[in-house]
Amino acid sequence: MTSGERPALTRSVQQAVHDTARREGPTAALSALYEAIGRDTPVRGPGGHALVPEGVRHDAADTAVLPGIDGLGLLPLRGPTAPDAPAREPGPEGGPIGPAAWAEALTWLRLGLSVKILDEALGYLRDRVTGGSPLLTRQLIKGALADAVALQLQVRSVLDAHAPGDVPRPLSAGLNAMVTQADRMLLPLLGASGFTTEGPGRVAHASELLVDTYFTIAQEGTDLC
Amino acid sequence: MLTTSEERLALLRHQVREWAAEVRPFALEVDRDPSLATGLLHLPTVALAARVQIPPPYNDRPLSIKGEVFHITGALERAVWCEEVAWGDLGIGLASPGASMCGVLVEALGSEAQKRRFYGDLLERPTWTMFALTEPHTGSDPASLASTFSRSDTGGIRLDGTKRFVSNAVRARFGAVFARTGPGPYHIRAALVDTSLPGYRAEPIPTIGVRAAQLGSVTLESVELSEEHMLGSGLSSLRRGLWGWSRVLDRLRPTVAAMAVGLARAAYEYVCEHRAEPSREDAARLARMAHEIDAVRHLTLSAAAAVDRNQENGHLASVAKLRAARLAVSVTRAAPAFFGAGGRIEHPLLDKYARDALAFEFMEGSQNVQRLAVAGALTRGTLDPGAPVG
Ligand SMILES: Cc1cc2nc3c(=O)[nH]c(=O)nc-3n(C[C@H](O)[C@H](O)[C@H](O)COP(=O)(O)OP(=O)(O)OC[C@H]3O[C@@H](n4cnc5c(N)ncnc54)[C@H](O)[C@@H]3O)c2cc1C
Repeated sequence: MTSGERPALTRSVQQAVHDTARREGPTAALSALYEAIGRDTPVRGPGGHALVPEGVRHDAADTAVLPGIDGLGLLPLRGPTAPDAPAREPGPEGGPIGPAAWAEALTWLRLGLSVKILDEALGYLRDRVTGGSPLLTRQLIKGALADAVALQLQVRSVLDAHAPGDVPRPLSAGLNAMVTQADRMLLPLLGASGFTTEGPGRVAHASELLVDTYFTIAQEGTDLC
Repeated sequence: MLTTSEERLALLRHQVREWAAEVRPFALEVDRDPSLATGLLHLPTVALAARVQIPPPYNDRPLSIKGEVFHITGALERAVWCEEVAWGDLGIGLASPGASMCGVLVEALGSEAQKRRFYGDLLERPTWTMFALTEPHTGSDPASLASTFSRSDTGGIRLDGTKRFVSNAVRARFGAVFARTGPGPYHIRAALVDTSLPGYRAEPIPTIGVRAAQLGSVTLESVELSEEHMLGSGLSSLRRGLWGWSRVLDRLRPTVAAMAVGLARAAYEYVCEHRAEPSREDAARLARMAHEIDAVRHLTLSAAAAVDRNQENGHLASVAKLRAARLAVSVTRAAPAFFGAGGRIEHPLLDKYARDALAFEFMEGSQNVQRLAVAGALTRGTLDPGAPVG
């Protein structure tokens, strides 16, 4: 824990945020997180942006339009647009938990979302029959599932190995890149049903927006070159 | 009159790029409200899409640039057209009126009368068409589709079934609909269906990306057709069935790859334009992106040229689609990060590009389907990695 920060979230709160994400999705999980840290104003990322559940108090003029998360009840908020922009809500530094604990909590949350996508992919692949057998029996599919779940477990093992509040921010950033990678392996398995706004594609998109908003090194999550 | 095909294609590319740039300012608006897509006929690429991709005997008003005439029916011309249109905006490109996939099928399987009517209608006024193959329970495996053509009480043909994820289904005036006349892959056929017929119903399916294309689900309930609607009646059951039209689709695959290249290029150029003074590391990443985009474009154009030379050369198109889809996804996902935290919120066009790119995972055959096709060609010996490409 960095000096000046309040104690981090307990393991049971982290697990609860993860489980809410897995069961109910990003909006419920973020709401649970805001509730756990006792805050009703936006927690902003390094660029001053935020992604908040609708219930969090905010300035309507800050709201950006991103149709990829339409209907989820999540609002993307812009950061300061000009050097002399009026003072904004402080970043997580000013809140009850510090930036490292916030990043750690987001990792739990996003891992929960990733497991949700895995759950939905498994359900889809079990039910989807092609050429006479369920897609789940295809080796290409099993390979992708195995790679994705291995990444998820790798992230989980690191989180489990650290006492709550002990995950340094750069490590959280790295773990989030792994979560993103797992999501990107899983989403294609859902076929076009993962591309509809009602489907898990929107969950994956919201999860990517969280990384984009709260971390500066999202590039690590890409597999380019 | 230009002598080389390279010069002709360069002329086409240059002109279409100029026109496609006019589409860009509408991209975000139509992404928010897909119903606006039908109101863009004042844009050159949208208006022209309505009347290109029609073969010479049926089109007396083809595209003419500096005296050069283009019908955009060959795979290479299509690839160049589609790359630039997708660079302008993929969603609006897919939402354009015209022959599109349905046209390729009519060209290959249609009778003379069907062609005259189909192309004639397209030229008469801008008309949206569709290609309805995917069903709620069958996507990658069309051999098991469930929609049926059966004899109707009046002696005609009755079409029943449900289709899903059909681009432009809500705005299409007609389109190709696939269904089976009996069990097995030889008994799958396509009909040209007028969407105003009783029993046809389409509803939009809101999507994460390419929202302008307004995917739809289609319900077909006792739609009354006659023999004249059926495509491929004069052909053998092999050629007009699953095997036949999947060869037809091979011809289209390079264009899908080309669209993916166009989208990747749009994202890359956006970063170059808006990222003032990139760090050395960022500049190096951008250079790698540029090389990769270029390499995939080469592959795609080679695949298109191969299909133009011989329609049986579809396997290279699968290779191109595999690489191009991957390129579009990775470039568009990497692009917002050049702008630091909040890149997607500050640059909504990049957020849109990343959403749009996902479409390539599925459009015109999923990535695994392409992988299986490439591996199949490799093991059959039709793909020789030691030989010149194309
Ligand atoms: C933007 C967009 C536009 C579209 N437009 C149209 C259109 O105009 N008309 C139309 O008919 N359809 C259209 N589609 C649907 C598209 O053709 C299907 O999404 C595609 O065929 C995949 O089918 P599916 O979504 O049912 O996925 P599924 O077939 O259910 O596949 C799910 C996953 O399993 C994998 N898979 C499937 N079979 C195998 C196998 N044998 N071995 C290993 N892995 C396998 C796939 O790669 C995928 O990852 C469109 C889709 C999109 C996204």
